[in-house]
Amino acid sequence: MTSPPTRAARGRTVLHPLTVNGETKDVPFLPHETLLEVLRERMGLTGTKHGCELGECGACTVLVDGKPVLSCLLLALNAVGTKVETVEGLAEGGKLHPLQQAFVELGAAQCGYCTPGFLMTAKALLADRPRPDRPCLKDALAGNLCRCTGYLKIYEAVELAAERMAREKPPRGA
Amino acid sequence: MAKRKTLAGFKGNTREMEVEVPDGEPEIWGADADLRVVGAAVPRVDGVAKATGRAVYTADVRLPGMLHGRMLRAPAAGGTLKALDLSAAEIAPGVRYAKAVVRPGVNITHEGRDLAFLVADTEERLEAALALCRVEIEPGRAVATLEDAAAEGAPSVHPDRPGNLRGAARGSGEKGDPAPAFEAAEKAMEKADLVLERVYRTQVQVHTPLETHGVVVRPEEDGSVTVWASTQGTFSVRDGIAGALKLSGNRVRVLTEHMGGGFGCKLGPSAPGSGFALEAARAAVELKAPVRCMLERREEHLVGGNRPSSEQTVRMGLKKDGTFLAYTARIRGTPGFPEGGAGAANPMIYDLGRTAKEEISVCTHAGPQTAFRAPGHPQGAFGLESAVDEAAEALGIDPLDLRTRINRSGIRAAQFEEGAKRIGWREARRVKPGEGPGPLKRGVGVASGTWYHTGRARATVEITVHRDGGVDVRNGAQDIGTGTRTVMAVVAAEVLGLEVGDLRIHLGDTTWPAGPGSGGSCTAPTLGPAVRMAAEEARAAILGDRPAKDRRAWAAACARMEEESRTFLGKPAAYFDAYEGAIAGCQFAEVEVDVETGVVRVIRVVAVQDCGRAIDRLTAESQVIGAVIQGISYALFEDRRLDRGTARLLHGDLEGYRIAGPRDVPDIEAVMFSVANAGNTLGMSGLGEPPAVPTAGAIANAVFHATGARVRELPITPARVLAALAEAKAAKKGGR
Repeated sequence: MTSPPTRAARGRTVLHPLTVNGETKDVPFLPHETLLEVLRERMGLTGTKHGCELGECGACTVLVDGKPVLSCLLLALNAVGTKVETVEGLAEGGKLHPLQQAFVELGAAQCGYCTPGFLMTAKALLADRPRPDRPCLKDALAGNLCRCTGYLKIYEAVELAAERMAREKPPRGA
Repeated sequence: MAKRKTLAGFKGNTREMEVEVPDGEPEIWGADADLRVVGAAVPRVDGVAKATGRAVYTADVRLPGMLHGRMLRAPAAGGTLKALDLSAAEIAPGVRYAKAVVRPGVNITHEGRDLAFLVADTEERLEAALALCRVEIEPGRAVATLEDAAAEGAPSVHPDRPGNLRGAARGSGEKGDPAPAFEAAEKAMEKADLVLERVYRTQVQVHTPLETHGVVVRPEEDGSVTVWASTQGTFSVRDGIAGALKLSGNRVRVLTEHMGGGFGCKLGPSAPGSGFALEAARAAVELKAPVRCMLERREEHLVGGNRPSSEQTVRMGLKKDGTFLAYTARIRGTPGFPEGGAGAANPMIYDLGRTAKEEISVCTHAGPQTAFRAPGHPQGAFGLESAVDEAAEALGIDPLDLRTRINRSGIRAAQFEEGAKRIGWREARRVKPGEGPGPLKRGVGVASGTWYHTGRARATVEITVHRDGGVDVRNGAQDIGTGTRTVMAVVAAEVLGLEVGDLRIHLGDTTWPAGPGSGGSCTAPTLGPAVRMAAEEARAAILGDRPAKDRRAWAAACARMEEESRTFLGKPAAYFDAYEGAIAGCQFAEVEVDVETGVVRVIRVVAVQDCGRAIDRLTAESQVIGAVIQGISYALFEDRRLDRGTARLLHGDLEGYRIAGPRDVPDIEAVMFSVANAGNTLGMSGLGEPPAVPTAGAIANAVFHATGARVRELPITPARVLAALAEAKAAKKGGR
């Protein structure tokens, strides 16, 4: 008969270097903690939301090396050595990111709980496809749920941000 | 009281109304009011906080020394609790509190019933401790569906009160015995050219807020408690917890700065099917430490409340020309274990001749129904609007023409015209139902909704003006994401001659003046007029006869104040006589149905909605768009399912319980149909619920137009569409 694993058997709290929003810090956590838990509970970065913890709602989306990842399904250990970006890192020097600016102007946030996840997914999309059409936009955002169901204003905001970003940063070779 | 004249109504249809207004109320903003900020598209005042992740929700609150609590829940439905042994959990590592909240012998009315509350120092240890609790249940048969619960010999959900049927019968809107009304209606039907009887069914829908129910309770040194709550009713949480702790209300401070959705399920002190918040408060006080308890997603589905199912048996008798002689509805629905609340708003809206209605709630072994965005209405509108459509089809009358004939609202008549023009009704309806070319068939459908003027007189808004010109606007109620803060800022800015950003709006703290729970779409029409009244007082006291011109004029006047600050209160009366007695709205849907697979895709929705005067066009449109998408989700996807044998939940997540996602969203045109309704000094009404009413009915009718097949049960799944198509084909053959 085996007894349930003790805390020691499951691992110890160890300091690991995590790079979040451009800053590398040694963060203590247990080996089985998810990136979502470490961001929220260990680092106090509660902008990344906890919605379902099952990878179904997208509220916890962060970027890992530029790709959108559900932080509730990724062990924090797997994020060591990567670059993690959260909603708290979107604004630069107090200036809102064009996506944030557009979300504010067009009212794309209602209760706001899903907003950080949408912003991060949209950022990855625009890095990949600077001017996505509507079907492409819907596909890219398909993993994010909004129960106030403000999807239309979210699309409009991403499109407005894309337009402004394209104007600010002409495509290479232009 | 004084009689005041005001211009009420909508574009092209205004009339001078004389309204009885209590003394001390400001002038009513009529149709001719010249307004600067009200009605413009104003971004939310808390938009930046939400877009930067700085907005703090209850789920985000972290306090030093905070402990974690959770309810031990019944793992089965039916039967009785035989034994509950918490001794192993009590001594498990990190466990600080383990208390039974029920005694052995208690009836297990539903899976997830509260059994015991546990608190531990980490969530992990809490989970381990919950697994150590021994629950023994004397098994009993459980009933999961309306059919099974209503069947003869079915086990009673409440054995001490046998039978599962709970009648709340009504005849022609009167409580009491419905039999005479049914008899009269049947008699009227004898003269009908056409009598139709149809049954419509709707499913159980779960609110599914992204932030679950939850609280963090902190006991304070002075014996009071501070509670962070994800709630639609800060004051109901305050009163509930004060009662549980035997404290006066002012010793319980409830804070709700931001909250992640409610839709009706967060109106009570805890959750509709759980007393978790009260237990967390008791534990926190006993342990002298903060306790956090957020429901998990599965708990949310089990005990977080739901929209009850319905079975609507409709009989109607009409003349050939479309005149309704009589309309009766026998409604049954499953509220879960509560003994009532499963009605449906059918009949409603139209002139249907003699009407009769009976509503019966059929208890099942399931979590409780509770208010859900326009309780009773989306299901009722699906039944009623499907029935009206079927009558139109049977008589060979255009469904919109029939509705125009039986419609009683002048506002809705104009809305029908506006919506029909925008969707291209006449053109689209030239194609007969099911006769479009190819396997991808298009169709358009229409449905209406109504709602009540729900502004209440119980709120007080406090405005504090500082000598430097700063203005604070305070009320203790909450902004549940609808934009209440912004609406309040717009009204105050309009009166004081300021910009929206000049004001600080404080909501969600019960130490401020009392405000309403956000139910019935009452928050904005309650707080809006209160802000207006307080702001008018402030303007009169500070600006006197000078016009409220701009920020400079305001600051100059404030600088002349003798005091450091002055405070003004607004406490307006309830609704006056409104232009029309109810809110009107209608929606037109265009769908595409693949008749080979049965898949329905909504292509376009035109939603024409009255909310009185829209105070902020942006947040108003968001309400309409959000309601329509939730309506699409209800019409096509959502379905809370229990195992028929055990009444256990088949899905406790968002994978098995599907809600509309980004790919399911069509083009939606939100047409704000502004009506100066004279109901209060702003001429405004509520908007959260009314646009959630017509959508499913409009989609069902569009599906019929596309396919010629009638789906009488929600959600309209591919399997149901294919079955309806097969039935229509068989009927056609039989007919020949």
